[in-house]
Amino acid sequence: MAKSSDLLQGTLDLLILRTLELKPLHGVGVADRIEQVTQGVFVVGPGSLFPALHRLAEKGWIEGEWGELESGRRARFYALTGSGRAQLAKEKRNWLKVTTAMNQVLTEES
Amino acid sequence: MLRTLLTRLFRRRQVENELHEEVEGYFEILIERYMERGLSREEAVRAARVQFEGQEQVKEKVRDARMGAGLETILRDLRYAARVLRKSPGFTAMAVLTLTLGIGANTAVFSLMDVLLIRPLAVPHADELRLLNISGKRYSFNYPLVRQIEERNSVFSGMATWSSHMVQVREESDLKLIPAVYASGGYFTTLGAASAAGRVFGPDDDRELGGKNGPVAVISDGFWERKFARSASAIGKVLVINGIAVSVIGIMPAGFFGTEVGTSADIWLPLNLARQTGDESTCFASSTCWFLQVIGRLKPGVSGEQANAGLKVISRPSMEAVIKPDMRADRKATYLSFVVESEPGKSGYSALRSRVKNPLRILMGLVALVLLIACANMANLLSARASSRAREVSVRLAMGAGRGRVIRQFLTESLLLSAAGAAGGMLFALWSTRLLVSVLSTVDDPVQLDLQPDWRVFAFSAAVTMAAGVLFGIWPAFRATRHGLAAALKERGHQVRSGRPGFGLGRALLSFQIAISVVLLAAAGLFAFTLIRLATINPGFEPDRLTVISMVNSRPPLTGAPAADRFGRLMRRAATLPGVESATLLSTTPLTNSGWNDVFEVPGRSDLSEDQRVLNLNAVGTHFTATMRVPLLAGRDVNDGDTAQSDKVLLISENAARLWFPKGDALGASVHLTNEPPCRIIGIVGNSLYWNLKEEMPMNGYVPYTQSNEGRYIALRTQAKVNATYAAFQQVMREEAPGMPIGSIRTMNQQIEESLATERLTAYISVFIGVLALLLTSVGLYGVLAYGVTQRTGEIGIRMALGAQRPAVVWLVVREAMWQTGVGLMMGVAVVLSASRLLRAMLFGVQPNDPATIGVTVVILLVVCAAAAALPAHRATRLDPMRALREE
Repeated sequence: MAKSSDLLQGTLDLLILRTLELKPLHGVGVADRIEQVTQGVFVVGPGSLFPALHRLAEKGWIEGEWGELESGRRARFYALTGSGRAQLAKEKRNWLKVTTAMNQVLTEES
Repeated sequence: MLRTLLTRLFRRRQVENELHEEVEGYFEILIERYMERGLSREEAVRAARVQFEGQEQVKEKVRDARMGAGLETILRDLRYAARVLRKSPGFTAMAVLTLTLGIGANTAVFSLMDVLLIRPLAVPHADELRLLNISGKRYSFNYPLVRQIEERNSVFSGMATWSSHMVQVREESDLKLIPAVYASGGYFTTLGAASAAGRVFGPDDDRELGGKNGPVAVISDGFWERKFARSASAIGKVLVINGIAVSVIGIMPAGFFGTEVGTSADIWLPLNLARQTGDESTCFASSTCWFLQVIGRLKPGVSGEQANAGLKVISRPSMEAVIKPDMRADRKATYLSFVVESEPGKSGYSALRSRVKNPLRILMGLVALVLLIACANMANLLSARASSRAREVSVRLAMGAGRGRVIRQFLTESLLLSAAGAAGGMLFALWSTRLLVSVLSTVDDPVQLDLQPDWRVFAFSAAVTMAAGVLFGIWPAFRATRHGLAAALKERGHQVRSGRPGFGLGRALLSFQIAISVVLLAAAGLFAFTLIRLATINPGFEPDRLTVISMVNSRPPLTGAPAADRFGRLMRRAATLPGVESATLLSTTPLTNSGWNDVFEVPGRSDLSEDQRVLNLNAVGTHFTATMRVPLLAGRDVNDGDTAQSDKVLLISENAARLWFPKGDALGASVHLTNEPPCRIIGIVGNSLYWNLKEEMPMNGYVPYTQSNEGRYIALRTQAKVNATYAAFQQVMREEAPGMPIGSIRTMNQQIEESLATERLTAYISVFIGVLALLLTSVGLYGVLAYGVTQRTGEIGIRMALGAQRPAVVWLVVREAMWQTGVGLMMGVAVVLSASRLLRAMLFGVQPNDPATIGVTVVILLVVCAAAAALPAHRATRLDPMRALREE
């Protein structure tokens, strides 16, 4: 099931922001997309996904809007806002910094 | 952000609905996917449920994650907490009372600290003010020295110098005494204090005989109200102060009381006017007359240290400039060693401060300990309750609330309790600080404090409340949620428990409470003992049925022969009043820490050190020994034959006679003061205390009032009823001395009582604290034991069914109590033995480690703990084994 507890703190936020960078998606769409892109490494359950979505909306980085699915069902679509875009850029840089540093440490040791 | 918050608060239902729809929609999509894979609707729902964590849990997590959720859940928690507490009014009342006393006692002592030590003066930029002292020891200055400092000063932008006095104001035909402040010309500008109406006075008004406007005065808001009924025409009115006409030029705002915390002046007069009004009029030229206090305002950019460095530089030249050339060499050296220093003057000056600073700090520590006991009690009460609320907790956990949520709910309850306690505590503090101040206040030194709590008191109370709420709430909250969902639901159906119910920290808390109680009770015992010892001391004279009347000399003061004539006549008439057995004059009334002493030359005794030749002196009238009931051991009393013209004579106390004349030939011998004619010793009287009750028996000397300073007090030995006597004496004063008001009329016992104000305050509070601690601890012990009995109903039932006798059952309960009591007592006694030294300076006639006090404390605690254990033990023996077992 949800492997979110294995995720680094803040990683889920980054994944969601990145996912929404391409186009607005609803909850299931975000979860599917993350699973698909990471080839099943990250499976995000609703217990992690919804709190994260609401938290990001609270911070003003994404915006929720009611829309319709192809099936005609009403669903809440989330889209990246301007400040969300900026935040994503910032988090990307941070992430690269951290991973580069970690890689250096790990390769040096081996 | 604020908008989303408000939206959330006011449109909660809509937000909830949307959340529901969103989560529900997700769920539906999952179901549809499973159905697309060929599952039936039911199978799809089941599969989706497995994958989904449960909609309610998800929603709860979302609510938690939201920012606005904070406020919303707090409100929800508060409502819930209030409902829970309302449901058990007994528990709630008990808890709130406990906290009211605990928090209230802390708030009360802190309020006193706040007004006396912390609160800044009601003037702008009070933190720039520095209170001047001499070598960090005394706060009084003489006038020439102040002038020197003012001239040489480079660190202060202004200096406020003042002296407090009672002055006489004429009201129709009567004279009234009102508190006044003689203030320098720079006083108001330095403080930055502006008048509410009219103007304040400045350097131009601070002249002998007044400035170009003549003598002026600024009055307080209170005096304006009492004397002028807040009439605008008060400005320009003339008051007769000590016989001098003074015109009112300004009225100060209501909050302004000057620079002395604990006093309230009615009127401010220019300092130099004191030369005419007769208060300290001879002091202005004297460098030995320390009657002024000084506050300076730092120049911009000057720090306190810089100010002290600057003052240090000018200290010695200033001192050199003021001492008289003919001063004795040793005194000159002392004077030259004085260094003028400054300390933060933000909260002004208070004569009371040095007296109560240490007692207040110790009391603050003691009340903090009481609060700890109260918290320990609350923790035990709450955790007992938490156990009985296990089902409620499990239901909440099952409903999807996280452990954190439940803990927060519990904490909300404890904070609500402590907030209720704080509200009660604030009322308790308002009431008790007034009581405490009235204990501190005396006729001579009325203490006037603004006891309106300020923000500091509220902040302190709030901080204490929060800390207490978390302190006593956190452990029970964790305990209640410890078992998690499954265990909590399983629990029910009591298990037969034996030995120790899981209550380890509770036991530790009890021992801790008992230990603190020991400490507090021992402190209370020591302070109470001190007060009793002081109050029952034999001062060497008979204080019962002795009245002391202080008279204020007329202005300008009467001196020399006319003064002696008038005081002698007053004394003789007083002796004939109804109810008076005898009357005498005194220049100093004993045990008020005031008086004078001098060094005598004793012929043929060059071996005596200077200290051994000092007598504390009193100028007395005829019938001194009869009135004071000091035994006359040899020789005679002062009589009418001792006049200004006759030989100088002296009575000395027994210990002085023994030391100076070991052969017993004191009577008739002559001693003298440096450069003064000899005094013949005409009588030897019993020893008596002079300055205060705590001193070693001092050596005293008594001279006839005709041959020394004028008397200021009349002492009356009276019969039991004195009211008629007082009225008659006031009539005598009006006839004989119309220009002399009566300062105060007090019995000697009142005077002694007032001299013990600080000790009484300390003893009262500490005994109150001790009893409170004892009460809380016994309730705590009772609660824990009673809870233990309830929990062990099954075990006790089985034991009884198996034939256990009552004593065995009692033992079962008492054994627990004994353990905790024993450990607590030992810890407490250890703390007392190691820490009671801290109290030594405040004790009298009792050692800090007084075995009797500690012994009595231990016995009291044992008795109280036994009583607290008796009820639960009794209840345990009354259990019906059959019923107890059936309940299982």
